Amino acid sequence: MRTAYVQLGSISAPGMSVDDSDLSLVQLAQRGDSTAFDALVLRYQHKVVKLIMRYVRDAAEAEDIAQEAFIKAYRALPRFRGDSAFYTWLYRIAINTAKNALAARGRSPIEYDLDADESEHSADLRHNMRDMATPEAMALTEEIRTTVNAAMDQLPEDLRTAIVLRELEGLSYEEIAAAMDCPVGTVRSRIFRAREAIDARLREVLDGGLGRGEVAG
Amino acid sequence: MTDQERDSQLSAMFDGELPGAECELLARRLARDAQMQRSWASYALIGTVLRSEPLAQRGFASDVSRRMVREEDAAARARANAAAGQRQGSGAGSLASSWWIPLSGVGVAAGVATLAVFFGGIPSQQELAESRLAQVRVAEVVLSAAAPAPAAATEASVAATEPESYVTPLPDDGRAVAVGVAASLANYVVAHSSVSAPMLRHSTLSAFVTAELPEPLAPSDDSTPRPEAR
Repeated sequence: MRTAYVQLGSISAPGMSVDDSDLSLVQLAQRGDSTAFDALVLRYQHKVVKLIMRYVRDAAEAEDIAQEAFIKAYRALPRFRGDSAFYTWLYRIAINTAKNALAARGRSPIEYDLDADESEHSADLRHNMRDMATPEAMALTEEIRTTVNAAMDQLPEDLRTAIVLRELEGLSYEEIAAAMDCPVGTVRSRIFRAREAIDARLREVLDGGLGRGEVAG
Repeated sequence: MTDQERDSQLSAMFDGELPGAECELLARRLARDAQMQRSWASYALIGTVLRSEPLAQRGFASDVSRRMVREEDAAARARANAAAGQRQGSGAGSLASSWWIPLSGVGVAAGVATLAVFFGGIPSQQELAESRLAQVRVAEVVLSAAAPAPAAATEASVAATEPESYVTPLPDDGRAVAVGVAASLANYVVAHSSVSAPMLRHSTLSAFVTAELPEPLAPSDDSTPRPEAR
């Protein structure tokens, strides 16, 4: 049985609850540790690509623009003072980069229905990405999604609830603890164990040679 | 702290649920620990899949890294050419500037070798092993590049003010020679900091400071002349 995990509510604004971890990485990067910046790229690559796909339909073009946005952010990093959350700052750079890229090509942004359901929009974007992907990339992407969902199905109820409340509902650990009537430390442990269990299944796929080097993370 | 406890902290950090002071320490480890980087990438991937959001193509992050390195390298070369042009007039210091250009390039390449492997999605065990090997190889290339450098005069000029070492010593398990060499090179790079770009200097130093040398360098590498450890 395969369960579809649907985002029921709006996830908390990206960057709002991750300031300290982002700031630590930003400060390391500002001191010249570029691997710290790469961790930020890893964290936000999917979000930035998704954001830019609101402006351009072509997935490959969106990825190019997203890369450009990260490069611009890296260049501008010495001037980031932490007045806003890192993602808010990156978000602005990404939008400006997308608009500038479109202006340079003499095109207008695609229409995006702001009232549309977020999950519908994500589904549209996924279809766009899929249309552009190679068969191997599509296969691996599908395998990753199947693996994650299957791993979720096999999680004990308490672990599954904790990670769903975190990843889909965007609740803080404290809110999850209140919802699940358990200590915050237990929430932290459950989310970690859920991720470890899913990651273990993912490793089987990603280390197993299925189209490695094409898609994911 | 066990790996499990560390990864549990990392998971909490990913969610923004770790206190700032702990984040700072863990961020430093994240920047140099391949397994943590892999877990970090995995947490991002899992969340994205659960939210049914589109996935960036694998290799996205490493492409960004490569572009960053290319830009840094181009900027460093431009600065080096400008500096060399200035020195040609005076005739002094041209030797000092001639070695650090390839050295900085190799130092940055160390980062790329690592990131191209680690950040192109979730690295496999084989990729992690290959990356560790790449770090050692890059360190060897750096050793070769640094060896003939006319360092004495420049080092002497800064020796009075520089710290004893910039490298955290490893346990005394037979790798002391490699650590000594790495410390010496790190000091060497810092000694030339007046003629190198800050970002490149840090990248090079990061390669020394954060690289875990898994094995002592092969005996054949010892034939390469190296600066004496201080």
